[in-house]
Amino acid sequence: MAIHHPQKTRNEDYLDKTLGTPSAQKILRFLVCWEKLPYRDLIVKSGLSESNVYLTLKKLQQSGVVKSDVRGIYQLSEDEFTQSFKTAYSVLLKRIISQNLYEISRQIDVVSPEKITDQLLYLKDAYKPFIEKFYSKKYSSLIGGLINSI
Amino acid sequence: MGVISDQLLELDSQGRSLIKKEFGVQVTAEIRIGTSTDLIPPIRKSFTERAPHLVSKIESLIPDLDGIYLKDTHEIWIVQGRGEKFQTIVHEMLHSIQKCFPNRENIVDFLVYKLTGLNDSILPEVLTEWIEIEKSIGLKNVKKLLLSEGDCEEF
Repeated sequence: MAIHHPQKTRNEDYLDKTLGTPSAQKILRFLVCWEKLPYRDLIVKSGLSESNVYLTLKKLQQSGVVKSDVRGIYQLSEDEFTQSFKTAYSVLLKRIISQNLYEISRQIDVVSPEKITDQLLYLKDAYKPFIEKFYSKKYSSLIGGLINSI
Repeated sequence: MGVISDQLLELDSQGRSLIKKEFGVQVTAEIRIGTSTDLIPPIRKSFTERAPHLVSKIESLIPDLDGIYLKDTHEIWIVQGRGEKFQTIVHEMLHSIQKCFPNRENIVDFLVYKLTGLNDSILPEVLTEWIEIEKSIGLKNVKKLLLSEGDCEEF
């Protein structure tokens, strides 16, 4: 009896191999948060090598998830799938940031001020648009807590 | 340093009355208003001797402040525009009367929520946690915790 192996289409293959990689997840995370980012900023924020960012962006563009209308500036595409992905990922990203802020609030009087300062700066550098939009009051109160803990 | 507007005076007065009513304690910290730039000298003064290596990093965080209670000078600084909100003022006033330490932040966030009914500055994790704490020990004892020496979460 012949066993039928369904063949993935080229598009499905690209999605399977591009969206799911850690590098793609990192880049997509920052594009969800920042809307648009220059190539250099993606390298700095993701901490990935330039070649890794280059190849991942190429695959994401080929799969239609990322686009670059202006040379060197990258953003998510406007198609239905990508926008649904963006909505879902925004919820996830908010939870990640909230959890980070919660951890800082638990550590602020017990861990070194140097460590707390670096954690706050990291969050701002990585996720500033979301912090400003959703967590500005909490972020402000943690800065106050840090200063008074020194 | 800026001029305190009538609106801020009103919020200040309301905050002090609310805390006196809920805690039986008079807020004695003076309220000051300024831009983020105005905040730099008093904040810098409050910790430079103890941590000079942190000055530039912390100064880069100051633009994100809405307000701050400085325990060294017993002053509440409100950032003009962004900090002139009842929640911010009540938050800093609670820090000014707070005696418990460590874990100072989340108990204050919860009490701001309970006193003002506003939940946009409390993290969901903190709200969930402290609703359970309130169920377990009662709001009266949460308020007592704030005013007592010792861990703010030792109950």
